[in-house]
Amino acid sequence: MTAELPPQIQNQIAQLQQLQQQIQAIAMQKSQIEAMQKESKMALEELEKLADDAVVYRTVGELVIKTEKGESIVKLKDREETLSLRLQSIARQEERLTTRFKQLQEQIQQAMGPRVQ
Amino acid sequence: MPEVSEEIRNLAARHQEFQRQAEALQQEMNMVQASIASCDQAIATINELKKAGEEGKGAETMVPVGFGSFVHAEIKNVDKVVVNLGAGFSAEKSTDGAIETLNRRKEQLKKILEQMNASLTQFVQGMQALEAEAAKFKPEGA
Repeated sequence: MTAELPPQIQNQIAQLQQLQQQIQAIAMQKSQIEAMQKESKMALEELEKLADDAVVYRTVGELVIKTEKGESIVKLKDREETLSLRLQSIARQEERLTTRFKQLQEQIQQAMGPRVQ
Repeated sequence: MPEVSEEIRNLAARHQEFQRQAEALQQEMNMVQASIASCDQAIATINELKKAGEEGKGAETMVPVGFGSFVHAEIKNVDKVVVNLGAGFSAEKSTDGAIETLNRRKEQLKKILEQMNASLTQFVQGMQALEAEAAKFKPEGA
């Protein structure tokens, strides 16, 4: 059936599929960041429960480095902030892509409309 | 009947989307389940070590060096455990403290799993609703 469609519509459909893939990829990124954010929050809660002189370790690549509670809390709060900023920008990107997807979908539907009926 | 086929196509697309989401969710649920199992395993191991410590004997064990190979080792201190707190942080704790933390983490994971299960049910219900709608389009006797 696709072979019968004018090249312009075929092109638009290809674009639509590409957009859909991008939207899916971004949704995945978003949920990954959300999961990281949740994990940071849980870790922060646990750190705050520790005694002030507790021995804390931080994983850096393959190494585990000894650190302190206070420093760790500062680091984690920083990380949370970075993550929420990234989440905001990803949400904006997702919105943009979704809008473009809807516009394109409408255009295609309009172009196909007379053929279907 | 071009109108009907249009609607069925739409239903099928929505059904596929639900299915995709449900599969992704199921994968995540498997991961959460694996984490819960890992918590259980850690708790069991720490409990065993604690028992060995109480009996006054250091635990003789082996340390993996890769490819299923080991070197002999003895656990010097069975009273302290370094527990993963998440996000790349770990803390040194007493065995009881470590077990407490792990149990807490396990409860959190269980709650997450419950929420995921609820979402999965919603997806399945959504799919069933779409299937019911699609069934209406079936020609009589088909």
